[in-house]
Amino acid sequence: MRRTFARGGVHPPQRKELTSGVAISSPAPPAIVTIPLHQSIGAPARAIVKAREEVACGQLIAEPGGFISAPVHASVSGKVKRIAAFPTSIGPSVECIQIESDGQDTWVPDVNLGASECTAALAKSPEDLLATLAGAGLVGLGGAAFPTAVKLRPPPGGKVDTLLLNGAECEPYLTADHRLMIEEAPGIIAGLRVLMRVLGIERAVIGIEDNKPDAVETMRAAVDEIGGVSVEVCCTAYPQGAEKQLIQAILGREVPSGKLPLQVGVVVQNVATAFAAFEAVVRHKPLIERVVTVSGGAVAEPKNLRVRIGTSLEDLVAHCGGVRGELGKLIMGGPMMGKALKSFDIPVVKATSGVLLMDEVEAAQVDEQACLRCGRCVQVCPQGLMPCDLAAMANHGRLEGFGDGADCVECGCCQFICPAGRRLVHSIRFGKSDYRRLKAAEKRQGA
Amino acid sequence: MVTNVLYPALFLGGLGAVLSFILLLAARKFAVYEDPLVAAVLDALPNANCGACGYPGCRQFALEYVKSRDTNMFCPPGGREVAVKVAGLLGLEASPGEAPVAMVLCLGSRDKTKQIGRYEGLDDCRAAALIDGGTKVCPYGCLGYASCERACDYGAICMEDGLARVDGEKCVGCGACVAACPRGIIRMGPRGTRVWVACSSHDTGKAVRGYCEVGCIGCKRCVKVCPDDAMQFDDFLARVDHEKCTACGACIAACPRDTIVGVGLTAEALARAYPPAEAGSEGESDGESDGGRS
Amino acid sequence: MTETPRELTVTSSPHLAGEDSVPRIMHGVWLALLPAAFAAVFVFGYQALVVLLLATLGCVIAEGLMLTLRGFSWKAVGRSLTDGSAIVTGVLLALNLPASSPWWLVLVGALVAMSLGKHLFGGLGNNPFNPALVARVFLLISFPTHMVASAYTPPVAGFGESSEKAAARYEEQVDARSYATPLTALQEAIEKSDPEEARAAIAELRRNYPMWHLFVGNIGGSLGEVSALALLLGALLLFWRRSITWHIPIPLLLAVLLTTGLPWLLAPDSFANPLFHLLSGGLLLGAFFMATDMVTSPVSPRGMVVFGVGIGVITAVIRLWGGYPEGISFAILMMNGAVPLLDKYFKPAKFGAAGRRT
Repeated sequence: MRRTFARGGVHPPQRKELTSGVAISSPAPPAIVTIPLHQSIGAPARAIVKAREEVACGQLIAEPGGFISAPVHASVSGKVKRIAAFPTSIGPSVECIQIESDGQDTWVPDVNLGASECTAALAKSPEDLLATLAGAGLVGLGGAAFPTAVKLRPPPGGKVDTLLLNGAECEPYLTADHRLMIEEAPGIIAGLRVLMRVLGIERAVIGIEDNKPDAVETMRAAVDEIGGVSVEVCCTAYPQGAEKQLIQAILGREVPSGKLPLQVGVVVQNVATAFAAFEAVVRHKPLIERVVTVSGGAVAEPKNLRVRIGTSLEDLVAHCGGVRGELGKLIMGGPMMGKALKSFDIPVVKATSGVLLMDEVEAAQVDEQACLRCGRCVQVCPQGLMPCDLAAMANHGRLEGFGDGADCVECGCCQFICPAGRRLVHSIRFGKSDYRRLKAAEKRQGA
Repeated sequence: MVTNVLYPALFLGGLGAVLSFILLLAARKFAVYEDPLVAAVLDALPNANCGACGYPGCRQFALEYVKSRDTNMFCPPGGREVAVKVAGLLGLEASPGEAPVAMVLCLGSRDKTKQIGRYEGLDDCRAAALIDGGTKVCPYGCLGYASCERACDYGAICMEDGLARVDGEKCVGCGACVAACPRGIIRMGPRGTRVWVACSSHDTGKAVRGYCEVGCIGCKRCVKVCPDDAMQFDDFLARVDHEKCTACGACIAACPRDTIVGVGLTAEALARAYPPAEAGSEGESDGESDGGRS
Repeated sequence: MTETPRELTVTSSPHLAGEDSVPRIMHGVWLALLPAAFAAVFVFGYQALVVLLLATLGCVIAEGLMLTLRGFSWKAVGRSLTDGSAIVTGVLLALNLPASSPWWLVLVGALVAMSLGKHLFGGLGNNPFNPALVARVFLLISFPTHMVASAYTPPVAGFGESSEKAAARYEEQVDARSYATPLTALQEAIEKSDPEEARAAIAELRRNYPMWHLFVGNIGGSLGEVSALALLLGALLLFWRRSITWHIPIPLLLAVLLTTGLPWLLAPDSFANPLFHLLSGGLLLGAFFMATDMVTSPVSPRGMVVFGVGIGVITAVIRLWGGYPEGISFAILMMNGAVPLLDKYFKPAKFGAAGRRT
């Protein structure tokens, strides 16, 4: 029996064939990068360089601004042009460090880009490894961008027995993780072993959807000789790669509502994060680049690109032959959970797993009609919520009963299936944010 | 025939009598004494239950008012009139406070700001802000989806060309709009004469010039000309200190972008703010009325 | 100021939409009703066709009228008229009427369905009660003479039956003429005070209405009650298109089977067998096409099951002990009223609500 999560889910058109067969290419570093200081969940980083300062590739340019925060490194060598607010995918005005490349791509000393031998690195103490990961600015590369080091440091009392490596990549179009697993399997496994050593555990499972048989094969071959690590195949269903759903699919454990996977003894990391961990520990290379899928009907040559953090989408699209045909929407991330952008003048960040240029047909919206109460949103909700009710509450400002909305992960299944084209996710997001405001106001009044 | 009418009438009448007697007993037994002043105060209040005073409703306000006899407690929608009336009921002197009034710190209507993209989503500013919606390039300005207009129970806000405008006469100072705005561009200011910088952008002058015709570019001219030291300047944005401001109109005259707005200015200040050469073109002569341009 | 040349659309995620749409669902439903409509025309002749066309046309026109009165733009009216929901109500209404209905009865029904049943509550998506059933019950109560059993034309000719044969059978059934539908016959039978007589009536009933006839449809009744086979065909189409799920109809039919089966097991001679109940009257039409109406049924799967069971039990109770021979319309309307409660108390289990570690 194939593994999948217990409830709900949808089967959106995959469209992964656009890029799944194309090897990752590494274009030359861009002439200018705009690196946001707020790239992870938590506090933004604090800049430690000044305008006109010379920086080397991989140099620390901003240090963590709090406990839940990650440092930021220069992704090209050159001169800091300015430090100012720019429009980014995180918000319309975010503090960024803009670096003009000198074209030399001079790395900080100590970086060994060709290294692949991990025995020596694995002999280090877990504390040292954790410090390396934290120092390298690692965040979850699946999209949530939670600082990896924080996630690997379970609070006292929490006991972890399994590391779940997420290679499901359930978002349509995206193949960045898929290609990475095929091309960098040994590196991913090395990173996995680093993560296991940091956590002090012996068991790890790699979860991959069954639409990537080649990746399953490569990863199986790569883990062959390592005990305690297995590759598990799960159904192609959205949202298979959502943290809680994947845990349920692979390990059969249900994370309690409002709790973290730690509660059931699991830490989930993305395959790309594992690879970044390998690079940080073995190659001493901080997180300054990542693989990004550039796809969609309106891009001339869909590709997977290994690009520097801070590259503008304009440059990214230029590497893929530019825009073809009528562009309808520009999306950062996958089509189900990604964010629509207003301009190409936006930098790639650590959490950018894909950039989609959807043509007018793909971007076409269903005309919105009155809710038919067909209940399909309820049937497909993987979190067991009633999206139609939550959306109605949010739209009408009746938020007293909105508490359940906090469990919504905004996966988009409800809106995808809705025959009336209701903008359910937007409404629920609106409700969630207003509900938080309401609760905060009540708390203030009570206090 | 008689019995057909008589028996039901007797039965229902009797039932009514018995039940009303029980109600009478209950009302006597469970009666709670309440100061008649509370009812009187409640009567004087607007009874809109808007919550602007900080209490959940008018009744709670009345209870607390009678109990504390604190004349500083203020009903913003009722304003001065109600304050005097309520204080009079308790034989007190109303304290001189007045309800504040809302000011929109943005002048970026659609024709004056650069637009980008096409937003298709909920017609609400807070919802639009969540997904970086809206079409104005300025990351600080009015989004224009009328959340404040809907939040206002008094019809004091209306949207004009994608920009919220406050009618100072109708505004009761409850502050509901301040809470409704995701960009925090509505602030409360003193009733009557007031001058404010109608911009919220902390972007550099160059950036603001790129997307808005009326935004503060941080030139500091207003700071230099202010005789009362009432102009504060922080992070590329000027702001008026209402405690110090005497509404002389000097800053309005000095601002090269017409970003500073004055309401209820004296004739002298008006003349200074809008020198004759420009007065006609700007149409600011109605600034006398409370809420002219606001 | 100028706008950027490439105008990008900003919406909330998700940026993909499934293929199903309201028009696709609605047109699918009336298409699925076509087999039953054909069966009705086959059994009752052109009169049935007239009722079907009148009801559908009436509903579409009434919908347009209501939308115009409510101040919608022409474009919005056009869009609503083409989404197929009015056609579904029209066909359903026709299938709930006898073939002998006069033209004005059908039109009054259409007007009532669209006004009282639908637009009074705000149109598609907001009506708590099934519009076609509101109209049916309205007509049943207001014009009982046109809606009573004797108004139902007796079978003309069944499938694979020559007209002479049908006439012969009709002669045989002459006793049953005054109560031409199986359920009225049953009603009369079980209301007989003398147990002996009742038993005889039941036996006769069994002879007059063999299961096969009930199944293929050469029996009396309203248009949609005649052929279980045609209804099942339509239901299969709905299942295949995923317009309906098992959550409502299956528990509903099981509930009817159980509720009517128990007394039958205890006294097989005095009660009709549950299969008879299943195949006769409007049960199948109600179970597959009216109880499953999305707008008026619960949204949560658990609520749907309870909803179905509720309808089944109430229908059976009305049939066995109630004053009307058929109870499915009343049962559906009653449970329609309970939908908000069902949605409130039978929410799906939240992910991680139990906090169990399996």
